[in-house]
Amino acid sequence: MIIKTEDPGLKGVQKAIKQYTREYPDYADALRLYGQVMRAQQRTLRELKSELEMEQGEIDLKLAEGVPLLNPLELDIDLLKYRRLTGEICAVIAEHGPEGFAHCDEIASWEGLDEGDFARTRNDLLTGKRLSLGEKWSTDEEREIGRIILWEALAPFYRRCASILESKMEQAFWLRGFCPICGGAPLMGVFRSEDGLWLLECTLCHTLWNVQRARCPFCDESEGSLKYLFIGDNETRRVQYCEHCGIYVKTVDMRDTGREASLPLENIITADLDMAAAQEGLKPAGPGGAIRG
Amino acid sequence: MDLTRKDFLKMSGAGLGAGALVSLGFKLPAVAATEPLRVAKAKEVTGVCSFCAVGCGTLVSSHEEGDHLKVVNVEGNPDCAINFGTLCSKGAATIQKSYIDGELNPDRVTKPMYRAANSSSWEEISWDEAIKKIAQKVKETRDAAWIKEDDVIGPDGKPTGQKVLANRTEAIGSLGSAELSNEGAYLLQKVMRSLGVVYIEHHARL
Ligand code: SF4
Ligand SMILES: [Zn+2]
Ligand SMILES: [Zn+2]
Repeated sequence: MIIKTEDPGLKGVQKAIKQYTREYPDYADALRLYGQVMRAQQRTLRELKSELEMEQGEIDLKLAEGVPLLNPLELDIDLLKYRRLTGEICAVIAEHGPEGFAHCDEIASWEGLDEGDFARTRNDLLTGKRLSLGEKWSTDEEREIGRIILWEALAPFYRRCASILESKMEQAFWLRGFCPICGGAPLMGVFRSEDGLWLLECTLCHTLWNVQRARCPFCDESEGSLKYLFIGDNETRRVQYCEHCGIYVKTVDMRDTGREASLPLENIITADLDMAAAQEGLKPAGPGGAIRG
Repeated sequence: MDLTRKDFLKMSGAGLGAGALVSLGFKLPAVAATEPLRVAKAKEVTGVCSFCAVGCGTLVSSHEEGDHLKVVNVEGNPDCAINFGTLCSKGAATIQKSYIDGELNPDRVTKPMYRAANSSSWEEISWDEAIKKIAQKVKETRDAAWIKEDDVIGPDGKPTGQKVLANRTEAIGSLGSAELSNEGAYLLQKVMRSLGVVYIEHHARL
């Protein structure tokens, strides 16, 4: 089975933001902010080309062996475009974040985004290492915002390569808890509207991939260990978690809704599920955006 | 809810989830709420529909209620290559074996039941008793209706007076389940043949 991830495009983002802000007014400000980030990402994505080629045999072999198709630590990224997108996301957060953002200029002039240092910055981001942002970043929160901005700016570059590879990817070879293309952790999961198939979306390249229902995708000791929790009576949004490894991924059930979910936006409006999971002592898949593989 | 910004940083997943939103300074409704979250737990396991030989894969969900699980839903398993998440109307009603409109199905048999010969009523018995009774009946029936030898029939259709070893019983029959795997079906017929049973049937209900 091949699964094709549809990029929302500018119009799609607009439509989704409208719909989600209407349905979840309590999260409207956060949704609007992230909508702006998504629009900036989609604009960059539109400009990107990829000449990536990979033989079908190599793809099948890698998937069967559990090796992601790309080495995310070696992806060539157009630094000029990356810096521009970083600046755009900074501006969005400075303008729409409830507390603004005081470090836009520092990110723009940070040596971590220079030609010589960028590979290390990219890899520190991907492997969840602490970034050496300098002394002016005094609090953990500020550093975390910096990390989020730099991370979000990576997405379109990985997305472009992933969009080429996913159409050659037999899902049955994979069924693991990390992204088959870049090794990224899942952002969220969805039970697909037409048949309830459980798909996870990659935090980095936003590829959708298939994992098995009723099995933990994160560990091998999962016989009967997968459970889920939900809040009140709302089972359509749940935390799927494993009693054995303690890892969770939030999942939204889109059956009977007649529409598709925007998982990055679902991730925002289900913040209470993260809190419920934290109360139970569960760990999110890929804390800090770490990749695997 | 008693969580600090630092706690949120720790729960930050890769994307813009609760941790990141709090870092950005958003006041999340769930954080502002004074009531604790009403969290319910549940579980999904895979099963097989028991109504016909197609053997569609199912997902059975149950909610935790105190120290036990209560089945609340049975649906098609999208990972099953037989039905890809679909169920026919019989399969879709599987939950009614246990519960009808949330109430225990009063007709569901959950313990071995015994009806004595010539009796019109059933009585509850233990598994030990049931298994012992079945073994006893099989032994009695088999002994009483044991066919040791068969006549050898000649070309004219008449017995030749010669005998051939038969070792079988025609008084017991076996009806297999539609949901047996190849291996299960193999074992069942093996047990039956070792008892000398020759009427070995399946139960396709297609
Ligand atoms: S076809 Fe219907 S009765 Fe047969 S196994 Fe599938 S769901 Fe059950
Ligand atoms: Zn990915
Ligand atoms: Zn696990």
